[in-house]
Amino acid sequence: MSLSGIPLNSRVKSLESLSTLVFEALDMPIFILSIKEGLDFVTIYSSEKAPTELLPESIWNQKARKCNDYIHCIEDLRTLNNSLGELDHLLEVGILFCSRMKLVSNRKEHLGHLYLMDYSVREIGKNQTQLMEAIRDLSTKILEGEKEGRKFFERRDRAINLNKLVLEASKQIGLGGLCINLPKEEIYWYKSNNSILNLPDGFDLEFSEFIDESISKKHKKYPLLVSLIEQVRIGLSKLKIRFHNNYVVIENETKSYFSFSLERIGDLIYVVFYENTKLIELDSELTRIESLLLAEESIQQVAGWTLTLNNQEMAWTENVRKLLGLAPDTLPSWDIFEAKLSLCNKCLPSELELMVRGPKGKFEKVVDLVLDSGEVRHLSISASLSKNSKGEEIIFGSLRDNTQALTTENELSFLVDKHQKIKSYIDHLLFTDIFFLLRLTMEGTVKSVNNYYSKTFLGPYPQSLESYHPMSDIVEDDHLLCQQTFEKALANPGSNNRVFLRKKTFDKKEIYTQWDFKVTLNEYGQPEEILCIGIDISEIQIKRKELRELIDLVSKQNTQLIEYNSILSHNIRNHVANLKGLANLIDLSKDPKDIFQFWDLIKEAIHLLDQRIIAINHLAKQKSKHTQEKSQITLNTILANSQAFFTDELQLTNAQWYVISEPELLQLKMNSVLERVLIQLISNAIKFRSPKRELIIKIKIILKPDLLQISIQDNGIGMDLKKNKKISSDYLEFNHLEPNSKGLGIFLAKHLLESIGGELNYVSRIDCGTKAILTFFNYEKKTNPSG
Amino acid sequence: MRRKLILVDDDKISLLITKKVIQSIITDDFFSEILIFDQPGLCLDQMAAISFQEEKICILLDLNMPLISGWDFLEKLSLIDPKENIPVVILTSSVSELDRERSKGYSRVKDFFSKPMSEALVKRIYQICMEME
Repeated sequence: MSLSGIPLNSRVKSLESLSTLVFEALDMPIFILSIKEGLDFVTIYSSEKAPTELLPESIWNQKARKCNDYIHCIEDLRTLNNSLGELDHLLEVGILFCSRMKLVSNRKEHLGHLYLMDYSVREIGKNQTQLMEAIRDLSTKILEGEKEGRKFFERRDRAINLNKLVLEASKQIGLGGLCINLPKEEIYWYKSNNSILNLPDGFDLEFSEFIDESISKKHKKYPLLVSLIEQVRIGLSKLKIRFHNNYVVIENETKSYFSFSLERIGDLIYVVFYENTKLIELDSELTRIESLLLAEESIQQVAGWTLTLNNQEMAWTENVRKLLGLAPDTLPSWDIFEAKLSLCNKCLPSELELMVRGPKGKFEKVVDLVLDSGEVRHLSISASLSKNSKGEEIIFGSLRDNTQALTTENELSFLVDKHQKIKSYIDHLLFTDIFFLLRLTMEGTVKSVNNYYSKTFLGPYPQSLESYHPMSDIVEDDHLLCQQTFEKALANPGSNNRVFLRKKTFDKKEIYTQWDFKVTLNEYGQPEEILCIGIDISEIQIKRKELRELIDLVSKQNTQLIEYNSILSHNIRNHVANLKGLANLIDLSKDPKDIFQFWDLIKEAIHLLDQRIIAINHLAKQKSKHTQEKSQITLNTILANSQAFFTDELQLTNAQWYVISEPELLQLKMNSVLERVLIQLISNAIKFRSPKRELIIKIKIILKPDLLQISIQDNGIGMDLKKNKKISSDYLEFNHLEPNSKGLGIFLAKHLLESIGGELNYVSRIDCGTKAILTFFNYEKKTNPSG
Repeated sequence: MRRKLILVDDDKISLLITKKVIQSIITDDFFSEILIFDQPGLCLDQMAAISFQEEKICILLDLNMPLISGWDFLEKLSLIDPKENIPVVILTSSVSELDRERSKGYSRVKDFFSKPMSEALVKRIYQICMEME
């Protein structure tokens, strides 16, 4: 600050040197160049004073000429003996620092003193850089401008130029002013004011205008001027001593702030003002930041403290007491501070000094302090070593309350842990191959799908979801069902709607899926999106199908068993019942003739029963035999053998035998079991021939695209199929084995045929005839239908 | 009014046994006639000529018969006797519960017995005939 940079005894050989000296030394904006003439100070330049202060031309030229010849800095005013009274005077007028230079001619004649004075107006300090630059520019212009520049003191116009330059500099830094001579009713208006106060370039304020209170009306278009003049008037009314600084803030429409000061020197009153807007804004910003910092300190529970090491003097902020749980009136004391910290775990205050002097240069600890209330406070202590302005070693330290932070950290850790668990659970749900997840907008476009869905339906290189439509991979037959379930879900938001759909995977494999559609609601209860969760139930479907087939098979076998049991029952129990009845009759009968007759009947019944059992055994053998029989013979041979089997019967009944077939069909190889089936059927045709006409047996072989049919048609007595839905042949008999056996033959025929993949059906009409149709399905797929 | 008992069964031995047992238990004059048919069709043919005002007929019917089963017989009988003047008692070698249940579908069928003919069945027939009057 101030002129401390000026060397005490430097020689200044030229004005250039002087300028440089001033520039380098000055760090304050307002300065005065003055020469002491005898007992008076004569100001040759003042950055804020009017040009009226300038000396008359003749004197100025004289002085300047001398100055220009040789200038020698003799003395620094800082070393000035106050007994001379000069310093007091300077201080009285506000000059805090100044430097006095003795001006000496080249002939070493004393010319007077050059005083560099500092008004030290602190508030202007913010603009000092700009002023310095302005002065530098000024000096440069003087030195580098015209050739005569070095001799500008010689001519008054040069001096005026200098003044203009200084004004320009003032304007640049936003510094304005005026000089008022009240007795003479004169006012000097700085031209730089115009640009500062947004006035026209040539504006000049008259004294009459200044004192006229109606100025506000006259110059109402210049609000800044009006405000300034009003403030100056107020200032004048308060200006009672010779020099009076008065700072007034003018808040105009554009929110500009101005500070100004008034100074009375003799009859003259100098007014200096400058725009202070940025400073005010900065100040308010600083105030705001300061309040924020205070608030922050209060919230964060931060406290600061210092300890001067040589005298153990301690200072602390209010929060130290709060954090350490000290009484509100506790004065800063290292002993108290140390005692408190000693109570903390892991903290030895005695180590504090050692550590701040150590390689780390700082002390940092996190400790737990148990307060008198029993509350545990987590404190973070840090300190470092520094020096104060007196060069004394000071430890700067801070305390921070981490209790809340620790609690928050614990809570946060708990929440993070919980979040992780939820996330992992969700990840588990989302990323395992258990279910499909599809999220749709209410308009039906895809929002997202899970990994499993993507993998299954979109493939390893999925297309963009925007171009994917979830209906596209649903089997077409299930579209309607899907659509209906969708509409049901939309109509009942929040409800689960299940549907089974067949979908095609990305590699065109059809799978069975089970889906739940649900419209989810947002926090306001409005439908938000459609959530579809599905699972692949293909395996279950396959198992279900297998189970159904198994049930069918068991059911079929059960039916067969019932049929077989029924037949057995009829065939055996009938005879047993007769035997039992005959035995009863013998008991009841008293006539020996009757008894003999009953005995004969018993013998007959036993014989019949024996024959029936033999027949059943034969059937059982046939049934087990055919399952192993694999021999293949041509259809033609089978038919020929069947016909040959009944040669006698056919001749006896004069029956006609026809085979209707394509010749190549007769060459088809069939399982030899078919021959037994045909024999059973032809046997029935012969037995149930009509007495009204001669028997005709037609055997027809047809090959259709997917099946082979062999039909055996007769013109016998026929049967009422409506009354004989079960082909258990209530009336068809296996005559060849036993004349009275009931249904065993047809039962065997039916099951023999089924065992070789065929099916037996009947078409019959009473008194017209019966047609037994043997069908072998999927013939085309097999090279050998009966194989 | 004359009482007639008709036995329908394809098994001739069974027919003989049934008739003999009835005759041994019931007096000769209870039934004016006991008719035997081993072909149900023939029986039905004769039934068409019966005058229900003059005769009370009861039928003992076998189920498991060729051409016309016992069930067929019942159906055809309902055409001849729609008013169900003729009661029927089933006498069959079948021990099937299905057959027994099926028989309950015919209101004409008064009872269901398994062969052979027994004293209990004779009494039941007697009872049925008495109820007819």
